[in-house]
Amino acid sequence: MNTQMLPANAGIGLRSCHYSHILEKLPTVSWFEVLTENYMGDGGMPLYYLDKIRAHYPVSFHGVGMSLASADPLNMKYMKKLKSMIHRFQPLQVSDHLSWVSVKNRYAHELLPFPYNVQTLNHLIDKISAAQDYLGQSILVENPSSYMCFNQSDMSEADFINQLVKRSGCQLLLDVNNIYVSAYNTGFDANEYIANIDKEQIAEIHLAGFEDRGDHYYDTHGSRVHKDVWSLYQQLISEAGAIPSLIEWDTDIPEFSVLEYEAEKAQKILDRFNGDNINKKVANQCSY
Amino acid sequence: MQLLVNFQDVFIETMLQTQKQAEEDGAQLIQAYLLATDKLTTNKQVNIYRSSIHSGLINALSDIYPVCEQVTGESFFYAMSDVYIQSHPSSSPDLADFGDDFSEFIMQFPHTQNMPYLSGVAEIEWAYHRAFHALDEAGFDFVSFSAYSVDELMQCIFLLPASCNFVESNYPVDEIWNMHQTDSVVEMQLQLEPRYFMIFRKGYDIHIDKLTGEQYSFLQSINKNMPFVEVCEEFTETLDASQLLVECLQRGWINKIEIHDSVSRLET
Repeated sequence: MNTQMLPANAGIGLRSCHYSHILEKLPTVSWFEVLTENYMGDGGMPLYYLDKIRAHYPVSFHGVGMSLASADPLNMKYMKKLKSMIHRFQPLQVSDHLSWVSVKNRYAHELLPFPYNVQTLNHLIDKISAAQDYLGQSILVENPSSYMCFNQSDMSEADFINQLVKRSGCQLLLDVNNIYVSAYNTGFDANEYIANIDKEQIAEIHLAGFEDRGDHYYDTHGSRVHKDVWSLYQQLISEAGAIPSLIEWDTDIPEFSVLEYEAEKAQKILDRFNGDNINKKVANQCSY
Repeated sequence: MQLLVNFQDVFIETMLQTQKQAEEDGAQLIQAYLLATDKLTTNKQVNIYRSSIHSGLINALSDIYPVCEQVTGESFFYAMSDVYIQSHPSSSPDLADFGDDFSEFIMQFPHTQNMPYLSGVAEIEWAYHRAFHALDEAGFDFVSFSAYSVDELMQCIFLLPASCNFVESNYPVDEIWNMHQTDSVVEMQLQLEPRYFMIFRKGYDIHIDKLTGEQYSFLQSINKNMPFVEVCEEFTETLDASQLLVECLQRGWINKIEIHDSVSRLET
């Protein structure tokens, strides 16, 4: 396990269309986030480029395959592959999502929702604990963007997450755009969510763009961060202090300079509060 | 937990339905778990996820099978993929594994029977995709090879690249594939005859090489991982195994050599 901390600066999501630019220009980027599943092959160009880029930059791993909320146990073949990748590339953080992508060996490859109640909370705690025990390190779990409500839910997402991180020893990857999108779609107050979330456990923040589809907002990661999301982010950072913050862009990916511009906006906000970090990541990591 | 098991069973079943099935079924079973919001009816909630899942999986197939998509047209490819997703759900957390039996599906799909070459094109594309992600390997070590005596070579096992896959087709699927790499239009005769192809990676370059029937048979024997003396015995009557070996080494179709007794191994 790499015990270094991800710098409390703005990072950028690594995408294949930017490999050449990054290696040629070596731009000033504090860290890159790697989509884990894009590098799970045995070899080839993706791993070649990741090796090269890792030699110059800190990276974090962000995956979608743990299927933590699935009723199934962890897929140990996947976990073994992930562990070997962690050993090879030494990411400073490893994250996945508060969701499920598969059940009974059928994979949707989409982050799927589930009801928030005591039963699912206990199940998630067991799954996350098993994942952390196997990997030998704490993981981060990201709040999802949501388009569905359940009649079996009896607690808010913020309450669910607060209890989850406290009892499982995991940390929170808070996606501010997801909060904004879910709040609009499912009818809760985004400011209240941020006020209630336990900020000591936030080890990373995601910022991205969404699409207004008329009757709902859809989390496309395909545009600039919305001004309301920037406002929520500023509110969050002012209360929590500087936290590593990522610009995510997955569809209609623009030139690298656009991502750099968005990262600079995040960095300016972080710089105002650098040194005020109340994050207790080191203590949490040492527990593993 | 049983509630979660039941819910996820119903949910995944609903999500993998084809568009037609979803319209007929109306996602009846999953509705019992859902609450409408001010903005989204329960039907709309289901449709957002179903559409997102199918779009993601169809995009994955489109990335792996761009030539099949060009040949069939976008809307046909979309509809065909929609059926494939329902009948052949992904069984791996790695999206790169999804679509492995697409060529077999195409072969059986009633609406592609007028395109009998299409499953062969799909096989080429899948092999290309697998080669892209295959293990990195160095080229053949001719220096070490030259140090072996003839007797030692007869006991050697020759190995094909880890990235290698073979495709058999009665159609010029390599030419179809090549034609779709550019905007050029080429008229071709779809003459029925057996054709053999080896798809593999040299360094980071992926090759689609056409094989003669002899080369194909020889490489199939080599691929059984038996000592070269036994390969030669299979071909004594019909082929010159030594000449074929030289050809295969020159083309990069063989990239490793192992001593039969496993005492030493040359990773080349």
